[in-house]
Amino acid sequence: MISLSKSSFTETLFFILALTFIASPVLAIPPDPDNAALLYYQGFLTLAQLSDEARDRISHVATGETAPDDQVREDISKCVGAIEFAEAAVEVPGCHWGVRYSQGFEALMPQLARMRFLAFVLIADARIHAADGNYRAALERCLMAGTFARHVGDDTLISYLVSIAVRDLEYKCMRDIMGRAASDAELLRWLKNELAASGPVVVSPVRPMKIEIEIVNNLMQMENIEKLARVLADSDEKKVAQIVEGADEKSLERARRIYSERMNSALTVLSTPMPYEQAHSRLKRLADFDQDDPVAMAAKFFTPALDKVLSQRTGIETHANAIKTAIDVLLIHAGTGRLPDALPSGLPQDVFSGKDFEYEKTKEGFILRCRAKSLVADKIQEYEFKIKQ
Amino acid sequence: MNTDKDAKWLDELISHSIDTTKPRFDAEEWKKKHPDALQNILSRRTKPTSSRQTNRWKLIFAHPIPSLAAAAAVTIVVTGLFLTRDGQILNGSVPELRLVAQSPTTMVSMMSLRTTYQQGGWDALDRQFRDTLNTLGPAFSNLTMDQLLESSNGF
Repeated sequence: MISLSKSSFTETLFFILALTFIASPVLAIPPDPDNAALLYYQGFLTLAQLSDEARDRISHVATGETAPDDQVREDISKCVGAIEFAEAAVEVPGCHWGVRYSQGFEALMPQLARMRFLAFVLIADARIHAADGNYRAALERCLMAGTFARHVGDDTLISYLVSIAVRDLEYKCMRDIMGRAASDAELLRWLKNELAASGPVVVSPVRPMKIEIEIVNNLMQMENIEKLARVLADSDEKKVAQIVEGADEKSLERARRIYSERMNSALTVLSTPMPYEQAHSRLKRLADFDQDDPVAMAAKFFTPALDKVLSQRTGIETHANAIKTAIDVLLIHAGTGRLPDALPSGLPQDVFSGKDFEYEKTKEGFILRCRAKSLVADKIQEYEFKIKQ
Repeated sequence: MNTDKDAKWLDELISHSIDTTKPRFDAEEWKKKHPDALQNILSRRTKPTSSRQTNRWKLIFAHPIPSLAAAAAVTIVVTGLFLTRDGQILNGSVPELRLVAQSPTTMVSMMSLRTTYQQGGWDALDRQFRDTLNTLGPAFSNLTMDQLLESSNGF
């Protein structure tokens, strides 16, 4: 047995510890970002400097207006770096965009336009995969856009609307691909499971509305009168000066009260389960202000288009339900070789009416139609699924 | 530890450190010491008081304004809050405000995007996003890595 003196033992121990510390890979390489937004921002920086025409080509392919051609394939190939960053970002659960709420309504959000464009890039790429017959890859890209939609989030009402728009783009593309892959039962079952596991369809408008209430109540204070005046008068210097000169605490207090009462009532309507038509009618009433009362009109200025917010939420939930219903119809088609004559019971419903979708077989496939119209668009929504034989 | 004793000790320490006698305001003494401030206060008496403003606003509230739908019209009505019936500004002179240069980045402010949506819905907002990309980028340098390294040779 080798015996070490006390000093030799200490030196050896120190050497081993030092070696462990230096060689430790955990300490040397920091982890990747745990905030998806940081990866998306890098993706935005990597987006190619495309011409207006190239951006239009990508958006037209994404929306399904045109089929992907060689030019758009080349455009998308220039965006591969951004797509790779997005692929990494969707694996990260948390996403914080770093909105400067302290700036109130003056907060700049240049990322929103980039988000919108990145969504076009992702979905155009999905359609290129579909055109090449790679349906699984195309649907994976759609699902990725869905996670991106959730990451776009609910920091502000506009973020919320962009999130819904990205989701809508995803579903439109998914509908087209599902029709082409109608005979592939395994792929349809996989998609059904993926959608079931992907969590809620849309983020809620409640959080951004609560944030807005706080921003507006801070703005409607005498110490912020110049900022308020600039918002109300759209930076018309003469009107700004008039508002600053004439404002007093009493009027501002009343404006705050009217605004807060309406917004809090709207939050209750949006958070309470109730039929679409009933919610729409209540929100319409809340957005009705006395036009002869300038203080009420100041409150109106800051009240968002509540009926539009509701209709867009209802629309995207209905679109999601149409996709889920269609998968079940297509699974019957894949199993039996023919479409069912009627919808099976217990499938997701049209949220506008709270009833089952109206189902119509067509020469090319089938249509799922809502039974009540969107009261903002004033039309019945319908979702067509064309089956590729 | 005796808390009461500590508190008493603290009170004594504070009373030695600061003057805790009730402050008394000598107006005549103050007027002699601050003639400019006195003049400033006296000049304010010529301006309308808050209650007078409120009375005038009652007149404005009663004044019928034609039905206006767009947000721009809301601005006109709101501005009307601070005007008399004949359009004169309540307090006479308009305070001078700094001019604010409109940067292209204001097109991506929360208020600008929000107003666009209020007025034109999603289609208008989408157009604004498109314009944003045309105006603000993506625009980055086409410098190659070699050019970058060349530019920092002196370091």
